[in-house]
Amino acid sequence: MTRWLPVLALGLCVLAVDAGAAETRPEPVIYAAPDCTSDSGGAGSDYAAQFAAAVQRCWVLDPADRAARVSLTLGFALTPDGRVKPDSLTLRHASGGDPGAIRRAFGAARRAVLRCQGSSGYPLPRERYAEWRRVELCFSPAKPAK
Amino acid sequence: MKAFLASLSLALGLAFLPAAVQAQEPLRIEITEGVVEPMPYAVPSFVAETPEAQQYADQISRVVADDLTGTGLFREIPREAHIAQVTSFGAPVQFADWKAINAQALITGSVSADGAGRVVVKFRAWDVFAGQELGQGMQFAAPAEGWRRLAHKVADQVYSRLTGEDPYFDSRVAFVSETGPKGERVKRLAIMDYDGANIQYLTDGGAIVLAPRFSPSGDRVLYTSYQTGFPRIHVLSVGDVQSRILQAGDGQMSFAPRFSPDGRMVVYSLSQGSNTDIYAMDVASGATRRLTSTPAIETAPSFSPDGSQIVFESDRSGTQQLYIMPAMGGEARRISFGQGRYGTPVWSPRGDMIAFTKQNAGRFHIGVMRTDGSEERLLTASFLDEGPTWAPNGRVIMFARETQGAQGASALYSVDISGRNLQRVRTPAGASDPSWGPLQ
Amino acid sequence: MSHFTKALLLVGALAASACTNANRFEDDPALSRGTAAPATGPIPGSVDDPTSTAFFQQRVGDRVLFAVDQSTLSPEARQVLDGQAQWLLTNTDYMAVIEGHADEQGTREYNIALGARRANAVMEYLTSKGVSPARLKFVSYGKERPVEICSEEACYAKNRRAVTVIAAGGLTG
Repeated sequence: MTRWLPVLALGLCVLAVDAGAAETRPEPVIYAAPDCTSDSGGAGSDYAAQFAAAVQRCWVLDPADRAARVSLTLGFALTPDGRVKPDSLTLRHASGGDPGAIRRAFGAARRAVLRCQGSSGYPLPRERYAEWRRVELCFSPAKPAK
Repeated sequence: MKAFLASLSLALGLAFLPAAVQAQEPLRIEITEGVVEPMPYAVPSFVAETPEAQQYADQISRVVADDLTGTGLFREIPREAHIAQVTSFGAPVQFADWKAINAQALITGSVSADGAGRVVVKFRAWDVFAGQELGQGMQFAAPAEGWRRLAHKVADQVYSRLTGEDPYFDSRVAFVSETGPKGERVKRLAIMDYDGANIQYLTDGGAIVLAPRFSPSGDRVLYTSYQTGFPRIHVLSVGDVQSRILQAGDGQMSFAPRFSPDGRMVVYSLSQGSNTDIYAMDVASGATRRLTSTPAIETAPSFSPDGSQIVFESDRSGTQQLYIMPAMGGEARRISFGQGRYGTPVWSPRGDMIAFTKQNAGRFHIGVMRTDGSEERLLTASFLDEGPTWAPNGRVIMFARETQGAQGASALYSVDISGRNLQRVRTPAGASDPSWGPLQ
Repeated sequence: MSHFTKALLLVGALAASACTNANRFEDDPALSRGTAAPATGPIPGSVDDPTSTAFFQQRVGDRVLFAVDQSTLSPEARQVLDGQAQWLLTNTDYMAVIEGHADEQGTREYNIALGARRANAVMEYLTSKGVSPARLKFVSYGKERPVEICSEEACYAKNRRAVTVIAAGGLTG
């Protein structure tokens, strides 16, 4: 695929390096916002709160971007030593933005989860692996940090 | 992009799975507060593929990094911290090495020179933690003297892929270059790249010039000059630097011009007696039409991007305030109601915001509000800030800041519409009245 | 600015010719002997010559000042303008360009319009006193040409002004 941008005095021309797959814009897919209730108050609240705090540190918002107003739920699976299985990351729900904003919000949430596991994984109680083997993280940017 | 589609379909697929298949409910956690910080990225020096390209390879990658870091949205990881060395453009990316230094995005590139004076740059952008390419690789070619434009083009592509916004780096700014003491400023019309490079002077400083305004396509610049002894609107063709007087009514002062979005009309102010009103002129025919007729000062008109409305300032209420009227004139509605005075409104390229200068309690501010006057936000505060102009993507505002006192001087600044990332634009002398041109 | 410069040049030229004349009187015995030199008469073109532009600038007063964001003429301003009108009615060979100015506390475009209001107020007053509008022009410099450059009210007060610049003969522009 070759694309040309406007040619001006400088004679700039543009073409794709890869003749591979054509870039495809995702169709507008707006998911209904689910109830974003966390399992707080239950037995798992301590480690779940720590887990949330850990991911939060890596969740970077650009307040001027429409993506910062997207609520979304990211689903993923963890290994017993607290590492994210990269292929398991999926967008479960999203609302509050156009497809481009949702795509960027998904990218930011995915990066947050992948980055903050560091090299040793999330510190989660191994004996309760069954509880956190699969996680749904709901990102609701209601109150972005100043 | 592909990964996103895949995950979308996966998510859709899961949604149709019977609940019973999913043995244990997943742990559900809600996060409501993120952090606002620049995204760390790495740009290793681009690989020179020919000996002549060596001098450009490092410079181009430097300008790419300056563009990205300058937005305040990204933070470059210094090259000394890089673990992986990129010596070949085609070699596989060592994601683990980039993860280790916490680079979220990686930009790799190569530069070659074809021996005929042209430079070719190729680049690819990577989402390090996802281990995927962001979009697809591209290449740009230009004569060697245009190497900075090549860098801006690469940075524009990367910026768009990372933020989803339209880019703005490959753009130019018309402004007034200022030298000399405050009481005898020498003002010259000039054009530069958005980052202050490649300054080109368009007038010689013999007459006061004010407030240049780019045409929507960037081929012409309107400005006000005192060349005849009286302020008159001139239109200058950027290509051959030829200018002519646009409005020539004897004994009248015309100023504050701005093009319509199609470049065919100019709206401006005309002073007759004590009254200043807004007029529109068809550039080709010279036919004029009066758009306001109150005895007040009405000036600084600016079209909406669809050309249907004009925002302007008027002191018809007793102080300078902002109003919107139909492009053909007619009833105007006031949109500014806060404390203080509002002037120099400029409609955003996205159409949803108005940038303005606000004067209140002895301070000047650059601010933005929605077109109905709601959600007013002041982005800056100083002794004297004025004259906002929008980046082509509507994300950044440039303006002039004059410092106080006898030694006071004017400089250009840019600020993100979030109010963050206030930055001085590097110009060799004083500068005022910026007008941001289109993406080239 | 060009008109202001012209006016200065004019003053300079008049002063220079006055000196030349004085020398010639001394050098020409016929003239100096036969004439009773006016001991009390002012040097033509000097500030003491009521027909000179220097007199207009310094004795009559070539400028009036305005309050913040105002273009109404104060009683003091009217007094100065009465003198300007009188001078212009007496010295009918001269034209005048009225320059309106504003202090730096305002946006560029608004200040041009404000300077125009001030200059126009002066022009209207002068014509109301009988000066022909054909002899007057006005121009606004907004905040582009302050006479005082500090950022305090003491300077601002002097910059909020309308200056009547005398020019000989036909006006251009």
